[in-house]
Amino acid sequence: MRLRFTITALVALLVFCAGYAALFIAPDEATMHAIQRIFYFHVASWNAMFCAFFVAFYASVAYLVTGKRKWDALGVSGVEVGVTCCTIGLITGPLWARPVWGIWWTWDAKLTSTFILWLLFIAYLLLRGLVEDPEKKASLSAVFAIFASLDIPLVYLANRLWRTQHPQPVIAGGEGSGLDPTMSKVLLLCLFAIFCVMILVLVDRYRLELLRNEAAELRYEIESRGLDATTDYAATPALQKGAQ
Amino acid sequence: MISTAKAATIILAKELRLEFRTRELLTATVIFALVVVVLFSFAFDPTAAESRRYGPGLLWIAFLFAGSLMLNPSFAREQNNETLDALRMSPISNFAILLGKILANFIFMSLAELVLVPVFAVLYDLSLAGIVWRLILVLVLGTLGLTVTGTVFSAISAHARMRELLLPLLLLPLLTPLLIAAVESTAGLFAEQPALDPTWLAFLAGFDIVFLTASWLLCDHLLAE
Repeated sequence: MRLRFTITALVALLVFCAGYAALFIAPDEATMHAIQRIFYFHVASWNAMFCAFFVAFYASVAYLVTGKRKWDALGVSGVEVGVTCCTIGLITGPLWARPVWGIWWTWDAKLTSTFILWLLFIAYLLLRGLVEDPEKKASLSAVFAIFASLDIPLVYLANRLWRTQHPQPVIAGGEGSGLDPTMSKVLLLCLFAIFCVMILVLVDRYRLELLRNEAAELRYEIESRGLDATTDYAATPALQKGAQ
Repeated sequence: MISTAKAATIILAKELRLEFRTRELLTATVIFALVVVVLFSFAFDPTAAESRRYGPGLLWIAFLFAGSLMLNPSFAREQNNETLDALRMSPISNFAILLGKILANFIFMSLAELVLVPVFAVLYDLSLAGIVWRLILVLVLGTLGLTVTGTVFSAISAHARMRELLLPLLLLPLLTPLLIAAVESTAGLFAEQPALDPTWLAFLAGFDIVFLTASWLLCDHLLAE
């Protein structure tokens, strides 16, 4: 408990430092000025998203191979955190694009692919919500996660092949085309900070899922003995078994 | 154990026999795709040049929507009398069951397309002369991808509530690369100078191989109790 608190505090401090660095230490960008600073967290959230989805893929394969519920718990945690990071990226993107490009959204290769990615893993979460039996839920969502993960490179490839055939909208302000050294350092700091936040949330969600599973098992155990899971039998001697 | 190929053929024959008794699924699929095609013409009212430009996209969207509806009963039907358990208890591999159903769905979808493509060509005034075989190749590869993934997701959504809505929700985002490749290939064929782009064909073939392999590897988990 103490350890978790310490780690959370350290990560919070790290994020604070990263935020400060992004807002005040990083040099001002030539054409976009202040709005460009969203770049540090925009890129960081994509990085976190890919890591989370990779964890989910690994956990899905591990679940199908071993059959242990903890891998399913890790899988759903990975997907939920990944979808959150993806949503953050999809919101910060347009927020940045509007003042810089003049448009909220465009159907270029990267944006389209990422939107599909978001939809795929939202479908995963919906699937989990609609299947009731826990073992089936686990195995079916693991299968779907693997299919979705296999599809990701195909989505990116197709969109890139497709969009290079059609005329591109002219997008001003290149990012990543040779970063200033201070900017690179700030970017690395932000990447690491958001990555740590992602890991922290992932681990907490994993723990929550394991606890939920345990609680469900205990409830099932109690109810299979013909008892009511919400009554406090210890406090009312009259209801205890021996007292009949 | 009966060999996978033989078992798949038996399952395929069963599915075909079942469907051709009533032909309700086929008829409904064709009519639904036709409705989509007609609705699009009201929504967009295309000129000749626009038909050439948007036609392929419209055609494949109609196939995807119709397919999403048609693929549901594959495994949903098996739930009624728990016939899937009977299939699993017989001495055939799980992949044979899946493959039989994939092939059956492929045939149904192809029959629907056989009706729809000429109708579509007539309605949108697009010539099929000189491109028939290449178009068939594109249709075969695209339909194979649709039926492989669709049958797998039918098996997944058969266990869920709201399966009629869940199947398109799972399937359509996954099929976007297939849609892009199929539409681009078809558009290339309907262009002024018909040409078949090998990149997109290779992509379609790759898509089919990847997902067929994945279904083979994961079929035991798909059909598990």
